[in-house]
Amino acid sequence: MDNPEKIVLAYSGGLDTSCVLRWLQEEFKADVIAFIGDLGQPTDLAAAVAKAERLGARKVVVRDLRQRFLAEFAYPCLQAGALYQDRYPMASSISRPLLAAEMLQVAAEEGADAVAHGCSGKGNDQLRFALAAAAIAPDVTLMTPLIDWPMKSRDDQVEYARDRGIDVPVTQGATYSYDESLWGRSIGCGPIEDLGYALPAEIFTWTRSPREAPDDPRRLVIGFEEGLPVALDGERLDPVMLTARLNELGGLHGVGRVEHIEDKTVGIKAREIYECPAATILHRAHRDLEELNLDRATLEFKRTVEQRYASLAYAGYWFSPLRQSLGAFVRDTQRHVEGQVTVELYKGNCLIAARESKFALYDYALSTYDSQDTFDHEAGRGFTQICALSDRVAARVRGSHGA
Amino acid sequence: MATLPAVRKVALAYSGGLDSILCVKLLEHDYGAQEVVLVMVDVGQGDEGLAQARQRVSHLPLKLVTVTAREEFTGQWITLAIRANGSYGGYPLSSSMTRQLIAARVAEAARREGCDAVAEGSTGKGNDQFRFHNTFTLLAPELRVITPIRDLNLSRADERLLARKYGLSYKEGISDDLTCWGRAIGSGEIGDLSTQVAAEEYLWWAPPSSAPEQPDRITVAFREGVPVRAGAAQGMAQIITMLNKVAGRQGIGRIDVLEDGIMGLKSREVYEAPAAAVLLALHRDLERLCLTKRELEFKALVDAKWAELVYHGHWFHPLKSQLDAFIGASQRHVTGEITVELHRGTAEITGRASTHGLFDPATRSVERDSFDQSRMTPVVETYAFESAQLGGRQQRIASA
Repeated sequence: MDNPEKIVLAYSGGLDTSCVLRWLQEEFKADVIAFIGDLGQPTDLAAAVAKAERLGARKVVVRDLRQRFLAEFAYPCLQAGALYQDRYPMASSISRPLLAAEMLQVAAEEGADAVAHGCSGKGNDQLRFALAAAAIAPDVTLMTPLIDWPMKSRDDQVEYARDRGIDVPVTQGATYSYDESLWGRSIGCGPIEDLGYALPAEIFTWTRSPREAPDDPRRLVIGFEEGLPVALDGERLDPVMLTARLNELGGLHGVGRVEHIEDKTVGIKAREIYECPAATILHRAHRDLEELNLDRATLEFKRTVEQRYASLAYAGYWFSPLRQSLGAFVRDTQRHVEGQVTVELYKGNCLIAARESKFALYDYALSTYDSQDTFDHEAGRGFTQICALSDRVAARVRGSHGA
Repeated sequence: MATLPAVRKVALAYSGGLDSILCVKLLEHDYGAQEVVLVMVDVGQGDEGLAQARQRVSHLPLKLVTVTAREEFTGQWITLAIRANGSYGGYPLSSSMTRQLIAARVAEAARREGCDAVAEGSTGKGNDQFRFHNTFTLLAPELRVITPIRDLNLSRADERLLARKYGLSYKEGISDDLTCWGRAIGSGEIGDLSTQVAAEEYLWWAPPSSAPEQPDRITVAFREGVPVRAGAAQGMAQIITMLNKVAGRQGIGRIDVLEDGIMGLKSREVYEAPAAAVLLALHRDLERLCLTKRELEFKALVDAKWAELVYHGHWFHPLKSQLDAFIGASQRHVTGEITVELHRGTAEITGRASTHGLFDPATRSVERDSFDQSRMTPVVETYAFESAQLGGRQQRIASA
């Protein structure tokens, strides 16, 4: 590769990307443009901009990606019921492709000849950046400084940072690493990598412990249209407002903590911890509404689609042709996913209290066993015989139990 | 037997076969219908068949409505079937589709004519009763569905007796169902697994031994998963007609399968479908050239589900349209030309050309210097992480 002259770096303001910002300038004598994507993380953006400028960034570009992140990435995952390994509702997984796309957009606008990120070679994120970049701009150079630079340990990096006046978080040593967006917060590293280590209270910042949650449950009516949440308690809210409010309410009631053993894309098992109140509540309510409004065959097949969709989104194949075709399927399933679901948030639980929809396929007269029953029980006899037909033939041929 | 429902005006799906002719009389005599409207849907079964069907009821004082759905069948239904590689255990779903298309058009005609019921001539043993009933109730839930042969529990012998009594004429011999996408021969009637259908029973297909000396070489052009040209033939209708003739006489497209019916019973089915056999094979081949590995892997699941739904009478089911949405999105790049040599029972692909093809010999080749093989070492090691974990566990267990 020829030495790049102008590089766009996905910058967070943290230690890794701050070191990268300096290192790229020193190593390649290149202009570095710091790109900061606002996904609703609690970082002080003004401070991050000032820091990037102080570290020599030729330009700092900040983009507010919050609505787009939710509308084009998180909500489609919600419609797709995309829970990786049935637990993780995605957050970092789907923010990386958006950051990659936006970073490439900035690179095109600024005439940059390379882009860079601050991910290590071990995690999922480098793959997510790389897969997105390959699908969007197959010929643009994606630099991976954390893999390429000579600093091999954290101590090397701290020394490098101190030499250049980059502040190092004081908590170093007992560090956890965090990644946040409106759709969730992930917690990793540190002593929690030991499977026997109980989760310390201080790692959670969005959610209360269920034990300390209020004694009174909170009821909440979530309105959906075409599988998308549009209102809370009758008030129409845009994705950012709605998600933020659910994060707050769910967090207060201890809802949305996820802790599980997760298979990373490179083939390593890891203990992963997340806080995602809004995503947890919305997935629960959305699935419930689907169970009411979708037919059996669709529900059954959609599970297969959901698992594949989740695996692709998790790995970072967001812009792959298959993820997009699965998206076409999912969108078509959502036409009648409209209605109100009432949930009850109570000490870590998100329970369904009521559901209502004009598209419901539930029919009281067919379901009930009371005097208003309209189901023809006589018809059940013949139906049962036909259902049993092929097994009856098999049993006659093979002997009982089909052995 | 349960009491038969009373009906006023009935739209009857009419094909010209014994079952549907007899239904006219049964509806009048057994159900007390005041008026029967015959609805004949042209799905491409051929002008001769349609004329004969008309002739058979010309002496009866009935209204006969002919609905043309030929273009819709080739242009929409078969198009979707090709994109879905539509095959139920080798059967290209020809009659499975036409039954539902006919049911849809009959339901429409019934509404137009102000009927309170629709009727069709299925027996209680086959698949078609499900396909008709499902489609009728989905598209016109307000209409009563009447299936006289089944309701009255008539055997084939009973039907012949009744036909004689009512003075009805019909065609004797092995039954068939003809569509341009395939012809079913003696559906459900071939009880012996060792019997062969005689060569002269086939309309298009000839045994490979009697095929021409020379192969037929044809290039088929596809655009977004749909055949648009084959040799000199343009458009689906022409292409299908030509291939039924050319591939059929080359001994291609005879399908003899054991089929699991809707009720779960096995039956032996014989079909001839030369055009479907060739077009489905070529489409699948072109997909292998133009789709990614992951798309192909998942689409195989979608295709299987599609075929299952269509066979089981769910053409108009929401899930089927959702699958079509996936399939439609997947076909954007299935564009290119495939050349096939048809000769004595085999269809061999001899050429592929596509600007959308993902086959790239330059990337694939190890002859090129630009590819540094040593870069693969960590890739392969990473790929084997799980194997290393599993192997390590085996070793720990063995040495414990």
